[in-house]
Amino acid sequence: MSVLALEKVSYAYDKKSRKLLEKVTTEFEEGTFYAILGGSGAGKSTLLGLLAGLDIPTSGKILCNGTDISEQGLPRHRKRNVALVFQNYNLIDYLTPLENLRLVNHGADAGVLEKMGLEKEEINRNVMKLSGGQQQRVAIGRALVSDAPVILADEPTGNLDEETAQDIIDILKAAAHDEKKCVIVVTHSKQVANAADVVLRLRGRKLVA
Amino acid sequence: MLLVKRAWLSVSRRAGKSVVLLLIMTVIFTALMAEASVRGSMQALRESVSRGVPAGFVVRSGSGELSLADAQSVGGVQGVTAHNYVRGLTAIPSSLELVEMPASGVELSGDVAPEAGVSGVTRSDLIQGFAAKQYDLVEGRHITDGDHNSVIMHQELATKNGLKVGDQVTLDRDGKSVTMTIIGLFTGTSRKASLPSEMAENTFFTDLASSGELAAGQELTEAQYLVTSADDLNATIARAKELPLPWDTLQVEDNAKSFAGVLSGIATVEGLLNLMLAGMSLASIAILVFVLVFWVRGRVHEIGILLSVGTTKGRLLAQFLIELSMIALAAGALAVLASGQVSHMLGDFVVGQATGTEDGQSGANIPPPSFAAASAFDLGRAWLLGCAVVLMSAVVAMIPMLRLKPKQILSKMS
Repeated sequence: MSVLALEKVSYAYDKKSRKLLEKVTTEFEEGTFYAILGGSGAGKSTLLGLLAGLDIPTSGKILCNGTDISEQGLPRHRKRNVALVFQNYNLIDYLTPLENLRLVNHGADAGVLEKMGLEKEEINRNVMKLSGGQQQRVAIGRALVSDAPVILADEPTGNLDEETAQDIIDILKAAAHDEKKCVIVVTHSKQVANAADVVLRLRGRKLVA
Repeated sequence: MLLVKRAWLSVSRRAGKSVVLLLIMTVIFTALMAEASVRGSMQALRESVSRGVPAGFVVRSGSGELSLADAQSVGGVQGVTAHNYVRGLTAIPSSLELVEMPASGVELSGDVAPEAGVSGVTRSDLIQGFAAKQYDLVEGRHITDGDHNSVIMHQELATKNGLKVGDQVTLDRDGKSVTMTIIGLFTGTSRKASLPSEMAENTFFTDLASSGELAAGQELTEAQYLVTSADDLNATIARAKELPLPWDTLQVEDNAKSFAGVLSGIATVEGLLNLMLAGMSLASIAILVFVLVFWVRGRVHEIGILLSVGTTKGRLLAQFLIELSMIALAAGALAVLASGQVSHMLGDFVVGQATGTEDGQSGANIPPPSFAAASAFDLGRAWLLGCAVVLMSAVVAMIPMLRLKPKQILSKMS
């Protein structure tokens, strides 16, 4: 079942710029792990930003569960429908891992973080005192407890070593298959692409399989 | 996570930045509270002047005589709100030992009779010394119109002679003797006294009738009149002068001059305070905006994260304002402590400037000016003004960030 869809979406930074995306139409389904590949400057992060409601398309529509996200309000879309995971983790630096989870879910408990391999002591430590891999686990944990049906990840393994990257890929894959989330990852990584259920490529301003 | 909790965690865990803001706010709040204290002192001084020197005029006997009937006719003039008829004389208090003069270098002859000053009055509370708080009634009550054989005396004289309210004293003058009941005791000192009878300690305020019995027909020394307001003073005097009285032998003196200088001084200082307040507020806003712009820029990462998890810009602004309010609360408490000291130094100086005296003596029977500490209400108002300045500055500092799209903010993050 389609949870997120692009309908003839085009995007340019401004009227004079060349279009980065042109009439892109595709659908993303729940329980599926997508990888979007593309060269530098192809518009991967822009596409992710549009799906996340961080920016608006020049033309076309983005639908979430059949509703245009601009109609329901972009902050509401970001709060309810999507959870973002970034390459540089993006955690709030004065909070602990558990407190970072509670930014999106007041009732979140330590169980999610423990499942992802964090020790009890680490869960209550300042988040900046964790390793990169641990911080990315916290960021994914925040996405999982948000109850959003879609997880959007921008190069989530870009700053991690191969072993840690594989752990993160496994966690995202489990989120798609076990938690029935729609996981969309934009990446350069072949490791991620190999693990994905569906691989899409941004080529010639279009999204193609 | 609740907004307030997040705000508290931000303030408490980013202690260094919070302390910098706390110090800046404390300085601003201290300045505002000191300004409120000085303004309060000005108001207290204005009230003190009005109380001590209410608008009015005095008719004195001059070269002629001021009869009670003439004084009463002036008292009936439109615009006169209160009156006090005074008969001043001296008398010898029977069996009482007067308070001695402090050493002044002036030697009095042993032949000088131990006379006390006597003021027969219709209302002792309108006597200048009481109105200006130079004297203070500490026990009993004031003389009022209609009292008979009543007297108010100095507490020190009463103590020296073992007297208290309800006891009787007898005053003698030229073979006449009047016994009166003590109805009140007062404290205070005279500014100048060259004779024992001119000392406040040796002064008796009696009812007018008793002084009349002692003086055997002596007319009034003066009649004091209060008018509705300073604006009506000249018109009321003009109406009084239309009465068929021997004005060529009477002296009329209004007291407008005695407080005009001080009121003008207060107005000048208040004008300066208003300018200072406006300047201080603008300078505070400028400094705070400058500091808060950096404060907000330093949090672009956090802003981006919160926007990406669906926090609205309104809630972001609210969180930052709550954080600043928390710091402002602590700064307010520190400023209350700091402003006390600053206000005292500034207040006494400015009040002295307003009265045109350095030693606090204003000359025209105006009570000695002094610093009046600001009330809790004034301090609260200054704190609220400070908070308004802080919050306004925060909004101004955040506008550039709030106008950006979430994606632009996230770009700044990376």
